[in-house]
Amino acid sequence: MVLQIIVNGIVAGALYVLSGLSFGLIYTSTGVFHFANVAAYTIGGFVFFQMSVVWGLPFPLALAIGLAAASVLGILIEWICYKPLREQQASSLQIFLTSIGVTFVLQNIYLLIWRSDPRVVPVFESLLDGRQIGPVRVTHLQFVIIGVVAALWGILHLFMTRTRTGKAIRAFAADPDVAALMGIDTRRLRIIVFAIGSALIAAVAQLQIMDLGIDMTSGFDVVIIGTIAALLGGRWGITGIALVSLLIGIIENAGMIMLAVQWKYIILFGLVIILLYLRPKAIFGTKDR
Amino acid sequence: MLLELKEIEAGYGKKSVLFGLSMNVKEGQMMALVGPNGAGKTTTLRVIAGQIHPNRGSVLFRGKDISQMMPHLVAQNGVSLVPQGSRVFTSLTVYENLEMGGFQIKDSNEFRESLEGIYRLFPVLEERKSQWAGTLSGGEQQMLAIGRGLMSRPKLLLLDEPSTGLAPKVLHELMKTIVAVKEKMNTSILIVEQNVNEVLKVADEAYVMKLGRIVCYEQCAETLLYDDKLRKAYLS
Repeated sequence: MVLQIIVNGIVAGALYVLSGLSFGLIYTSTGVFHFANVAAYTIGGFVFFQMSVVWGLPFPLALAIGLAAASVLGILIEWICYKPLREQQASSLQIFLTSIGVTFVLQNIYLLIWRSDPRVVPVFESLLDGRQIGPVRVTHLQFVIIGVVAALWGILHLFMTRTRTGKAIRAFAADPDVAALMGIDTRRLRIIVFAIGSALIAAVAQLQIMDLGIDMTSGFDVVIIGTIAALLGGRWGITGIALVSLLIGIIENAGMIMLAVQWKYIILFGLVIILLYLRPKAIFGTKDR
Repeated sequence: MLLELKEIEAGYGKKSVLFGLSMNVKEGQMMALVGPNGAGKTTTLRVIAGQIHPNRGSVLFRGKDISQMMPHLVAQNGVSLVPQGSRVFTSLTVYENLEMGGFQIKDSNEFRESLEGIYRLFPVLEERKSQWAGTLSGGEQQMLAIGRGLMSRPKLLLLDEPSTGLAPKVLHELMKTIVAVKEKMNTSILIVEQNVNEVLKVADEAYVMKLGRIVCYEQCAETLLYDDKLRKAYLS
C-alpha cells in the first residue's frame, strides 16, 4: 500500500518535474513570471487531440505539431506581450499581471474553439496493461511517462551544461547585461528559452491527455504546482526542481488518502509562505549571490 | 584613429550626464580617463559599448558610427567592455566564463589559441578552470573578468575601475599585466581608474573629465601627476 502510493506519487511528480523545469528555465533566465505557460499547456494538449483524434494524423506527427504550436505560442507571447513592456522598463509585477491577463484571454479563446469537455487521446490497449512488481502495480503508460520525463530531464541537463547555447542561457541568467557584452544576442536567447519552456509544458499536457485526459482547467493545476516546485527547489538547479517536484507528487498522493483534496493547495502554499517568511531571498538564491 | 567620440550628449532617462564630450583613442595606445566621482567616466564607457545610446553626437570606431548599435553587435565589431566590479558569471565555472568571452569565435583552433593566451597571462585561471567563478577571490575574479574580455581578441579593451576591491600589491601586478596585454596582444586600451597614481604611471596619454566634459588632455599621462591641472579638477 505504502509502496503503491510512492509509485503513483512518482508518476504524478514526474509530470510536475517537467512543469517545474519549464517554469524554472523561463524564470531564471528571462526573469518573467510566466503564468501564461497555462496557455501553452492547453494548446499543446488540444492541438495534439485535434490532429490525432479529429483529423487522424499519425501519432508522432500529431505530437510534434502540438509541441510546435506551444513553442510558437510561447514565442508570440514573448514578442507581443513581454518585449514591448520590457522596452518601456515595466516592473516585473506589471509583466506578471500581463501574463495572467494573456492566460485568461487565450483560455477563453480555446473555450470558444474546443468547448469545455474533457478530452482523452486513446492509446494502444497494451499501454494500459499493467505489470505487477511485488506488491506494486504499474501500467506500461506509467513506465512511458517516467521514461519520457527522465529522458527530457537528461537532454535539458546536457543542453545547459554542454552546448554553447545552453551555457549562454546560464550566463544570460546570471547577468544579462554582461552576457550581451560577450557578443551574445540576448533577444535570440529569450526566444529559444520560451520555445523550449513552452514545449516542455506542452509535453506534460500530451502525456496527461493520453493517461487520464485533460480539460480546459488542467493546465492551472500543473503550472501552479510546477511553479511552486521551481520556487522551492530552484536554488539547487535542475536537480533541485526535479527532487522537489517528485516530493510534491508523493506527498499529494499520500495526502489524498489521509486528507481531503482541498488541503493540497493549503499545504503547498503554506510551505511557500513559511519559506518566504523565514528566508525572503531563499527563492532562486543564485540571483542574489 | 581607432575610436573617436564627437560631441556626445547622453544620460539616463531625463538625467543628462555627458554634455558634448569629445575624445580620441589611437591604435596601440593605452589611454587613461580620470576624474572625480560623478564626472561621467563609466557612462562614457557604456556609451562606447552600446549600453547607452547617446541623444546627440557620434561614436566612430574604425571609421564606422556605432553609437546606435546594440551591445552585442558592438562587441562583435571588436570592442570589449570589462565592467566595474568584474561581474563574472558566478554560477558558471572559470572555464565556462572564458568560453562565453570567446562566444563569437567559431573556429575551434582559434578558440584554443585565445584560451592558451589567457592562461599564459593569468596562470591562476588555468589552475582553477573547473571551479565555480563565484568561489574565486576578488583579485582572481578581476583577472577572470579581464581574461574573459580578452578572449574575443578585441581591437579595443575598455576597463572600468579594475582596481575596485584589490589590495595595492595585487593592483600593481594587474597594471603590469594590462601593459603586457597592450604590447603583446596588439589591443588598444581605454581605462577608467580611481587610483590615479597607478594608472597615470603606465598609461600613454590621459584625459581628465569633470561634470560630463573633458577638461584636460595630456599627451604624456605621467606629467599629470606632477602639475596642478589634475588637482584642480578634483578640488574645485
